[in-house]
Amino acid sequence: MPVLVTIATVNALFFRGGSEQVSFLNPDVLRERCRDEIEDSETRARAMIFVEQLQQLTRQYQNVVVASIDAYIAESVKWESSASGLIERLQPWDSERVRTVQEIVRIRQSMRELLTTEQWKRVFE
Amino acid sequence: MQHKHSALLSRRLALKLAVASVLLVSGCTSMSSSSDLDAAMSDLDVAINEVGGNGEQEKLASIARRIEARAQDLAAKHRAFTDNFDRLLSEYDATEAQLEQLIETYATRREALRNDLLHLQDELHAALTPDQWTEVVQALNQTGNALASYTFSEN
Repeated sequence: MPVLVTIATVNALFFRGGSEQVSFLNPDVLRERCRDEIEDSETRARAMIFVEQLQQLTRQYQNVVVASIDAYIAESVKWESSASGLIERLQPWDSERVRTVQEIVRIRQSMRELLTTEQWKRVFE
Repeated sequence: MQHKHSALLSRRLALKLAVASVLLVSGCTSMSSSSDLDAAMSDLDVAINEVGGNGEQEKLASIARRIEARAQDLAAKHRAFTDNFDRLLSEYDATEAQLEQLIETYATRREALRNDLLHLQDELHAALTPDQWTEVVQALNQTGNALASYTFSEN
């Protein structure tokens, strides 16, 4: 019985399958690419700050998922639990999940404004 | 004696079905494209295939089949969202509005499908006695304990 199914799903959430492909959802690879493809400059330093923020956001997303599973289990184990009670309990985590993903978009927009088209292409292509 | 043995097996299968179903729903409250979700579905299939002509088992199997269909739908939606989101983030010409639209559409659909699963869990719940539910949630508590260990090791 895969009782650890939820743990595995948490790990796999934004993890791009061990891929070396550069991605905003894979900050470790993105950090390396920025280091390799952007010359040592103020721009690179700022790009690295954005990468660190992305790293924090992917962790934050995982924490939100863990919290929502925790809330689901805490409510479900009660005999008097119901779908409406569960939905109400999970709603704040649904909102938090969306806010975190939207924040990743904000960081991406900041990165786009920071890098030239050529720098962007070197990092992401 | 034979009847008692058969009743015991029947009860065990009903519980197996219920536990497999609830664990699948619990996985879907998080959502991912993980192959472990496929493993949870396989476990559920095994339990469904063991069902005989017993009325209680048939009722549970019917709920389990609907849970599985919704779970598959949810997994496919999540996979598509993650792939599209990832691709658009890296595309220089993608706009913030496009990304926002993608997030909003997915969030609405995900919540609707997840809520459907929770309503199906309600049906499952209603089909069981308090004693049976207590046994089912033991599996959920195991998941919770594993989750606590995972969180602890991460922090």
